[in-house]
Amino acid sequence: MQTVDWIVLIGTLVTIVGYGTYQTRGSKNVQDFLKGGNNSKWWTIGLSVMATQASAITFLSTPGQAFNDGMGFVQFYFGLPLAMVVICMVFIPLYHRLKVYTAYEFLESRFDKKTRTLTAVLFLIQRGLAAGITIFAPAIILSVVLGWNLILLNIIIGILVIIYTVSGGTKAVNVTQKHQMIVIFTGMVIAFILIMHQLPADITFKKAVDIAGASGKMEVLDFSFDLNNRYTIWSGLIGGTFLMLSYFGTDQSQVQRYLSGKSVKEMQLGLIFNGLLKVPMQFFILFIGVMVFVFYQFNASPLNFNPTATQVVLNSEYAQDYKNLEKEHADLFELKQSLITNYKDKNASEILEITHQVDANREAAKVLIEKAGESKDLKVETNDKDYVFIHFILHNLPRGLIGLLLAVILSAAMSSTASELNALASTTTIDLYQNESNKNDDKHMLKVSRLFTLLWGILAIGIACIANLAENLIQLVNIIGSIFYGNVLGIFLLAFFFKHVKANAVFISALITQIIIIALFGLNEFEFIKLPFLWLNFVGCILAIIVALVLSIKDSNTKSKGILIALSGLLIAFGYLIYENSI
Amino acid sequence: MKNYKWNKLYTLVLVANAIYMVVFYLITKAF
Repeated sequence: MQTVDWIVLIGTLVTIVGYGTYQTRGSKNVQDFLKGGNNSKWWTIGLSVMATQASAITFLSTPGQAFNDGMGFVQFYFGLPLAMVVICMVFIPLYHRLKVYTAYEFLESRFDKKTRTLTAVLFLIQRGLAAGITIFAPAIILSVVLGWNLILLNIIIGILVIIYTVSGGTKAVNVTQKHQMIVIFTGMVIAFILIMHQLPADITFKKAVDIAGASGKMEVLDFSFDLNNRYTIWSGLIGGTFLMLSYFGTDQSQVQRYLSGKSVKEMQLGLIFNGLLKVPMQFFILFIGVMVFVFYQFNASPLNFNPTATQVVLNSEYAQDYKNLEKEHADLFELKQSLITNYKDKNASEILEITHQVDANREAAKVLIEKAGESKDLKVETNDKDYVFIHFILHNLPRGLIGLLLAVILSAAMSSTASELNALASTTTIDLYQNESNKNDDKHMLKVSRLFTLLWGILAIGIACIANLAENLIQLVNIIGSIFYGNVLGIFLLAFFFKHVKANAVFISALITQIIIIALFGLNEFEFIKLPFLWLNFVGCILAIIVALVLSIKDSNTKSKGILIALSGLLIAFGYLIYENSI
Repeated sequence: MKNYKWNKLYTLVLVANAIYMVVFYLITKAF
């Protein structure tokens, strides 16, 4: 890092935070603080929703994912536009009509207080942990590659976010996210242009894509019905739709973004903006990763991009074996380069063959790293996909742009964390504190909202600081998310579409569903069945609806009974697929 | 369902999504 990089990095972050804090200072009441005074235009909402979903890991991991596995991950987003249409049609008009502050507030008006409290508490547990991980995940990567102090970095990111979220609430989150997204888009476009620029002079765009295609990286769509394959068109369209409906429709960190809209129309347009742009945006980020892959076909790359992992294995009894793999890696690079330089369609199969050998070599290196870690009683991250893009940035971008790309990563971390703190504070204030204390004094509630934002911020920093000590915390957070999400979506869909279903049936159904989902997760963990986590949302949602409809069978009409039979048939068919997949 | 109004922008979103899939299919086939 050169001085100019530090100036660009610190200048960008401080300007965004300073401007956001100054512009939105002095919220007069709770509505101002938690709903941004209901003044947001559609483009602010659209960018804010996008910034909330795109965390730092999106920009660190996604190019690395494409580097390893190609473009297939984009299929995961095919459900997003469908979910956006349902949310625009059903969720937004109802939330707006009831003038709710949180998604869970709506459940009390439809069912009862205990259903509202249950869903609010599930959200707080899951999102509270996730807020810590949103800070920790990029901080650990940056601390490894740049040698920065991890704890200090966690604290700096956390404090910067706390400053503007406590000061200006939702309005500050929205304003800063708009500027953060501008920095993010600018940085990614510049990175793409520079990657293309750094390819050899005779490698045109068409030839670069041909090389990526010959190496198997341009297989975007997968039509197979294999449940073990995480990214297929079916998992994206079915599993993805349920996941995105849960996330955008019932997760307060997203709901709060569009509830700040000036009108129903502005809220809907903000989501439509995402429905149109999210898939190409994700495609673009993955494509950057594929072009980084092409770049490394002409430039030597490390066998494993994680410097800590390499250091561990080179200081272990497996050092010689690892060096042998590094030699093979270098030989394969030479061999592949000569084929690629004279690239023609007819040697595409040879290129693919060598790419498979490189992949196998990299996998063998991961096994050695794992063994080296075990021999030293260390937990080492063998999967280096998070380190590919940052390695490229630090070693190949010119001065100043390294600072800008680091600002992109930290801006993304801050924008997601800000939405999370803002939503955690709203849910704690409105769904728990106000609901239990029945206090309505506006000034008091504003103070309480600010206090809860501060407390959740401190807790998030605390979780980020201990995350390195707790093994598999990131995995735990993802698991908690997939275990709860489907059930919560089921409750909301019951509220919207099944008027005859009453509070007790929903509450009992939610508890039964949660037990079954946890049991299914356990069966999958102990390898009795094979059910990828993405499908837990789908099963949880359908199951919650079925159980509630069965419990309300006395009050149901012919249409509801028909839906019950259809959903049961669907679940049985899916159960059969899991059974087939598991044996 | 009669309470929920369709909007032509929803059609645009769904058509755009279908076009993305067709384009990705062509990319998969071409490369």
